[in-house]
Amino acid sequence: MRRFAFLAGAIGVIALGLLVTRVVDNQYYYFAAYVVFQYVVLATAWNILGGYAGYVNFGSAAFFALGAYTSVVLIQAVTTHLVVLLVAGGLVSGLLGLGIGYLTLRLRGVFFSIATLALAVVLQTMVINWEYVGGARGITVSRPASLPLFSNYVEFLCIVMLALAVGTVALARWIQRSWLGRGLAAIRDNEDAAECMGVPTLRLKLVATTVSGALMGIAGAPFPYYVTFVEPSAAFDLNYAVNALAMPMIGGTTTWAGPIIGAVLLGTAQQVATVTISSALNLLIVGVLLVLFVILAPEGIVGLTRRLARQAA
Amino acid sequence: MVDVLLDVRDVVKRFGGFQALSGVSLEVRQGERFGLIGPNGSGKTTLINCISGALRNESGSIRFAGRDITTLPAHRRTRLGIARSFQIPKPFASMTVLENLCIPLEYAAHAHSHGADVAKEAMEILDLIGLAPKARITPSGLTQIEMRKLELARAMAARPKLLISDEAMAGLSSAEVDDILEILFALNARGITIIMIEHIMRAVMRFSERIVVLDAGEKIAEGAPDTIVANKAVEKAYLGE
Repeated sequence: MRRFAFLAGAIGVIALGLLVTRVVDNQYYYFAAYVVFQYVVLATAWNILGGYAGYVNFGSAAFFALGAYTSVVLIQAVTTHLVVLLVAGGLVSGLLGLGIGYLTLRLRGVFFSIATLALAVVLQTMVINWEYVGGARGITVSRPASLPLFSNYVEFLCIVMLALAVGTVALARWIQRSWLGRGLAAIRDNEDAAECMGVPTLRLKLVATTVSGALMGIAGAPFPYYVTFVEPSAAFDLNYAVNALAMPMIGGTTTWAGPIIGAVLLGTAQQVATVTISSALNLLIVGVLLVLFVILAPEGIVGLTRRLARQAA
Repeated sequence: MVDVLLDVRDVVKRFGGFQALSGVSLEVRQGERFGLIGPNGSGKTTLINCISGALRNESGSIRFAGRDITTLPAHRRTRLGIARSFQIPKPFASMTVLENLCIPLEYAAHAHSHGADVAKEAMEILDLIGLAPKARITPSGLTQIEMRKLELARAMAARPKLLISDEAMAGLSSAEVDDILEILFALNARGITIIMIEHIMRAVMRFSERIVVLDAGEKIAEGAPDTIVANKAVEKAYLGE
């Protein structure tokens, strides 16, 4: 019954998105909504490793940018087909996740986090020095022709990102409720005990880094078509690394719903702040909220509401 | 001739320049109640870490049920039938007591057959060990002895052939020690071989059929409890000259 309800909700959300494209014409909304949906994907992807398994990744921007730059290379050399770009972005970033996992997962806790931070710096330096993808100057990408059903390409991208967000959440929900999620939770709670109870900790952590990395790459793959001008400082923006971590922390890390709540709340607040006040305010909002939540509600909004519900009962 | 379940041969373990185990050999027989004692720092926990796979020994071999397991990772050894409890309890804090047991049931006992009713089996183990009323709470709500029982219950849920109990009774009252001993006797009666590491002599002497004494990484004595008590080398290791 719950599975049916979730499926119906997922299809309903996408249908609603499509319906909105028939009614709303102001392009700004699609432009803003795309960013929010993109953060739902990023936050959910981060949470599979950071929330479920307890390994904090500071290098989300690297996986995101790798997806974006994989697209740039493909658009330059081979194809402009969006589906191909999404699959390729996912594969390449997933491979990076697997490789980084293999190299660093013997490091526990904070040392893993430091390694992921270094990864973003290394990758960005490489891209800056790679002329083929525009180097430090950046590169202009032209969008394919608009599709018949949509009045323009951003509208189409927005719906694509919405579908990706729904798919990512469905995957995260499945992981959380399966043997995989229970194994990851055991690793988060106590890795030594988990290994001694038969959990293949290294293999499970590799699955988590690979899936998490692949989803971030998929989130980055449409990026060149969204911005049409890709430069390293935009693709590797600090915002991605900070938001990918802050949104699940604020929403709640132990369930699939937490990252959605965090991404929708924070993402929307940032979009509003960008228009009404200034774009520089974004990181400040995130920073202040993150500090408040870590101190006052370390289990995020999901944990907070559960606690309040228990007290009321 | 009784079957040897665990065969430890010349195991050496170093930490940097410190030799924690210098060539320890011992055999544990099928169905035996085996005691491992020694002063603090003698290498007891290091040895069981090597047996359970948490540490890799530098040389020597470990065979379990006729199979060389020296290079196997810990989770594979658990699936083969070696389970342990930790000296300092390491529960899965975000899960309920029942869910704590479901992890080894799902990953070790039924590693190759998904879809088993693990919650029902977990409940049976909790019943057996006397933790059933606490099944739905998280470990933070348990008392010290309940925490020890959870450690044992979780090890049981891996459906082991060999259970290693690492100081499961340290810090417990006399009545509580008897409580844990009773559980261990009951498990042994069901055919599980048990290695007990313990400082509480009354418990080890009562429980064990055979005892090995470690001191400074070497085996200094082996035998039935009464011969160990009479052994001069053991007395020296514990009390000095």
